[in-house]
Amino acid sequence: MQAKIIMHLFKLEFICECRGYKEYLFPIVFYLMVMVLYPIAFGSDSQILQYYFPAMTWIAIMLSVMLALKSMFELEYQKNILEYLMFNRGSLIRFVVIKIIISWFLTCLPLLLMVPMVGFFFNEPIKVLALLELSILLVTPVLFLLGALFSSLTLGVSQQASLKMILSLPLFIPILILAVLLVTAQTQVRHLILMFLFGILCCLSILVPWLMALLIENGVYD
Amino acid sequence: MERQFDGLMCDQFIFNNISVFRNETLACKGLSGSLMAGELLMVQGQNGSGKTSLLKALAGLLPIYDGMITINGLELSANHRYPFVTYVAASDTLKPTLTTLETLQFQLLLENKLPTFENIKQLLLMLDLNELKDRLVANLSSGEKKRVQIAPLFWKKNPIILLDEPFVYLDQKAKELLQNQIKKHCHHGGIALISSHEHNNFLTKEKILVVN
Repeated sequence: MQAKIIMHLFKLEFICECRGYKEYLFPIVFYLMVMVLYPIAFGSDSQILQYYFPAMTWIAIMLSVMLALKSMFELEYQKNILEYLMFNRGSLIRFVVIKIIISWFLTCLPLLLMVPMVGFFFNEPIKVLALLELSILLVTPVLFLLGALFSSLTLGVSQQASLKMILSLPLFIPILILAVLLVTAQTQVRHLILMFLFGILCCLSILVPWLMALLIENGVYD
Repeated sequence: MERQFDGLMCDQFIFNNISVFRNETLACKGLSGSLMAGELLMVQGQNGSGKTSLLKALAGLLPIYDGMITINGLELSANHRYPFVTYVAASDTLKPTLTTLETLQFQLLLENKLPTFENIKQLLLMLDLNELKDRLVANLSSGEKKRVQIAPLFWKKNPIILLDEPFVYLDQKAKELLQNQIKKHCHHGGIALISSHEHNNFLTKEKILVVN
């Protein structure tokens, strides 16, 4: 019964978000634009471009994820759907989790598909691309969880978008460093970083929905 | 009087001296009222007099600055009031990218109920929305949206209903449907608070609270 409800809600929310696909198009187009601009600015030295490809990719991805996070929970807040959810705490947490998973999926799956294609144009070795994909798979959920947390923290605040960016930047920077290191570091260090990031992801995925429910409960008050 | 509520009963609902702040201004000040099972309270007043704030505060969606809300003689915090209350907001609370049918399912799902085919069909027929069931909410008219929005009244079985301007945009037929539903609710021993500008005395036991 519960599983059915969750599946059904998941399906509806997915359909709803897919119909508003234009929002999800923007971060991907942004990513592609940044990646096109790098070689133009750096010049055509393919060695430099190859060497810095992981870092360039990660900067572009981080910025496009920030763009995607800009409007998270905005519709739900404006339409008072979060208010409606307050009447049922269990469904609030459930809704938050579903929402994070779906917006991660719709933003990052296209990015995951894009990165190897762009890497191909940069003559990037397969191994680096595989590692990049792994790092994206592992790190973007962390970014989304943090971003969702900041979204609920800034609900209803004027200048929400810029405030959210300023809040998230200090936490995103260490994650950016780790993400790039995951691709470029040596094997032993890589294992450590991998475990560390996985640990962060596990902790956040347990803590964040619960914290968000708390924040929304207090933050929905105008 | 038979009762058909989800295990919870509310014989007495009293709010005393309620003051609510909204955006750092005092939205309503010192409002009191008391309702017994089966009674209806019309909240009337000018625009900006604090009707919405009062209803939101009673529902537990706005913090009360001062005052007391008791159900069955017990003072209850917002969290504990939620299971008693069905609240329908005045503003549009529907997702524009869902169809009418999906919106009704969504409303049920958020309340932890599995929408069955018969349930939804019945709701659609009752609210006269069957022909619009595959239309996106964004493409509905204001009256049609309002009809979707009041749908929870027809399946939620909470003893207290708080309706904020429920008759706005509705046509005569839909108005009568809603009035009948409210009457039925009160007849079963439920409590209703309605903010409205219209003077429709559709219930004999109706009380009026004028806010200014």
